[in-house]
Amino acid sequence: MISLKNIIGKFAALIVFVLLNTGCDMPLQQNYDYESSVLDPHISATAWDFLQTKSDLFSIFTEAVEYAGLDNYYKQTERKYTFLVLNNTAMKLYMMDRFPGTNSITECDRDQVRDMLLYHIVDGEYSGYGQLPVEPMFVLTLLKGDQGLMTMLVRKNPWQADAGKIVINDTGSNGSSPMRLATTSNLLPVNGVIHIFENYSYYKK
Amino acid sequence: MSNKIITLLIILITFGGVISCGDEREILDSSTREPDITFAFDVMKIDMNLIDNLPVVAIIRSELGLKNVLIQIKKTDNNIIDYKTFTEFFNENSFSYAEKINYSADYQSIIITATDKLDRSISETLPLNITEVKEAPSIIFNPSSILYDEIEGGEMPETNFTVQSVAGLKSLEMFLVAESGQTQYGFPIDFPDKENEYTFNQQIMYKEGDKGFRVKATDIYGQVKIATLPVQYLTPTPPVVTITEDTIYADKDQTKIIPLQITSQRGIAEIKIYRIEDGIENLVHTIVRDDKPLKLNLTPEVTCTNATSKIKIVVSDVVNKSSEALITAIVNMYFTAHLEIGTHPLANGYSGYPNVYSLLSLKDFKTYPVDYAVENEANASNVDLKFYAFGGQAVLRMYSIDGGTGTKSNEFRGSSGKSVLDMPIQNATKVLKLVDFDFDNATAESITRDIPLSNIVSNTINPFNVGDVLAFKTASTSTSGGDRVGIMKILDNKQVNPSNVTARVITVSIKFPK
Repeated sequence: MISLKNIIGKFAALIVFVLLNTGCDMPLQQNYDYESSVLDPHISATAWDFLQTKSDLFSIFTEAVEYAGLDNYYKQTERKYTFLVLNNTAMKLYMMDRFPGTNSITECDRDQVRDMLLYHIVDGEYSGYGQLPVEPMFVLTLLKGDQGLMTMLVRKNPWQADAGKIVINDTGSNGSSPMRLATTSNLLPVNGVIHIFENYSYYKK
Repeated sequence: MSNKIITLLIILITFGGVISCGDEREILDSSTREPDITFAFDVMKIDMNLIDNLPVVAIIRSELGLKNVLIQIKKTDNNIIDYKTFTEFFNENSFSYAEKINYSADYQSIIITATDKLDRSISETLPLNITEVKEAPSIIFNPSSILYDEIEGGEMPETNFTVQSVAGLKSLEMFLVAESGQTQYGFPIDFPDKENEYTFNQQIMYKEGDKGFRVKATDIYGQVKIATLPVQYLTPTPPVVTITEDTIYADKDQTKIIPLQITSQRGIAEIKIYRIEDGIENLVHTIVRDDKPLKLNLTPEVTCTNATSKIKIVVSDVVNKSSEALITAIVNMYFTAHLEIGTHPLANGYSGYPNVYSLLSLKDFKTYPVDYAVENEANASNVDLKFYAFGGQAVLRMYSIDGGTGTKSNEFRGSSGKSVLDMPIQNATKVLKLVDFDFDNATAESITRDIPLSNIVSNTINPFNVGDVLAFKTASTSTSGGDRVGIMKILDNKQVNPSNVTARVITVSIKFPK
């Protein structure tokens, strides 16, 4: 007959062994940086498809991309890019600054528009999800030469209102280039990352 | 049986747990892509003359994960320097390298070698195109200085200079430097084609007072070189006029001879003589010398009017350089340039400052003691004014002889208990302090014309100070004649007795129309 006392003793020994063995190799708790995020940043479409769904916000930008012949970058899925997308406010500012008096992006110099748009496509994926540090780092835009220099960082301080947002050319990090803060950050289409801006970026020595 | 089954289960669970504690090894997939390195530039252009060269920027990617990244610098002698190694990465799949390197002229390229966790390495080279430090522009003048002597004459030498710049010229400015300051010469020159050399050759007509010709050259890096060509322009000294007397005395409309000695290095061309009357220059003689002598002794005659205050002589040489001399004219006036008068403690003399007394005779331009004035009527009528210093501040006052104790006559004491009060005649001289009256240019005519007799009615001036001009009107009993007007300027005021602040000597100048 198995006594109840024996059974209890054996189960106690079993629990002790289980606790001991499952406790091994547990790492110490690591420092943790809070990363704010949208509930689901993934978009099951290309960057181009995303822009089409928001034509009220990006109509001038998409027209400019087509005018410059760069739409394939947004449509392809073979390579990941970081797309710095300009909303209509940003595009109007660009036209007013660089081509005052024009009413349509197609009235602007095509090469200049192309260069501006190439500056807004970064080779590689740079989102706030572990790919960008809080200090500015240089990235490669598709615009070659010194005019293509750009830095990026992500705001991580949870006490700041812009935590999680992407910053382009943080002040002093890239010559005299003006700093730009994304209005919407870290959208993840199938072909890279999208950050949305209300003003256009450019390099200034 | 059940007991055995339970024991077996315990053993299995126990050892099973221990077995599961084995290390988790990272599985390295060799099918992943090798690292790749992309530079921001195909060739890095570095200009060591600039302070804002761009950083070397490269993105190093590894699908598997980076193990290390080595940065090396290759020199022109093919030596390779291990510059830096990175082994920790924020994102081991993508590393952004950016650095402003302290370049040296012999750097040839930057080599980056990336090694992934499977020890697969790849290297990429960024060629460097380095522009070495370039010297600032140089400016060479030929000749290195210019000397022009007017007496020797001849052609002015050409101003010639060459500017050289290794980097290329941006702009050039020229300035004429004179004693009066620096003025721009011509217009600034820009060099849109960044020329390395510029030559200037032109005859600049320097003139008297010019000190140099300055050139400022700036190269494309903003380096500035300033050089100055020394210029000496020698001119003969202007004529020298020597007069034997700086003051002439004349009666009204009297003609006076004015001896002049004139010398000139270039030749005397013309002598003009002016009479200054009421501040206006009136030309009275022009002497033209066609023989252009280098030395001349002249004795021109000038008629002095009642309004003449000065005689002015202007001598010009053959190149119209001129000199002038001024002679003070005292016409129809008694004049003393310096006369010392004591205040009341010196009324009868002070051993510490002898021969100066406080009673002034306008007839003699001399001071007298009280003992002299009380002696008889003739003496008494020969003194016109007495000088006084009041209190601890020694405020200066001028009194006529009359007025009794109201003009402090009792304090001007002689010997034997006598004072001015005991003078048998006490001149009632009147005085007036003038405002903005030009003593130096005052003439007999201007004194008579500008100072009405009726305005001089007081027997006191209280106070007066150094620099003041005072008018006086003589009493009818004065030995200098009645109702005659003169002026006096106070030149100095000094204490002569250290123990008595009111014991003072006042120095005056007097003009007294005849």
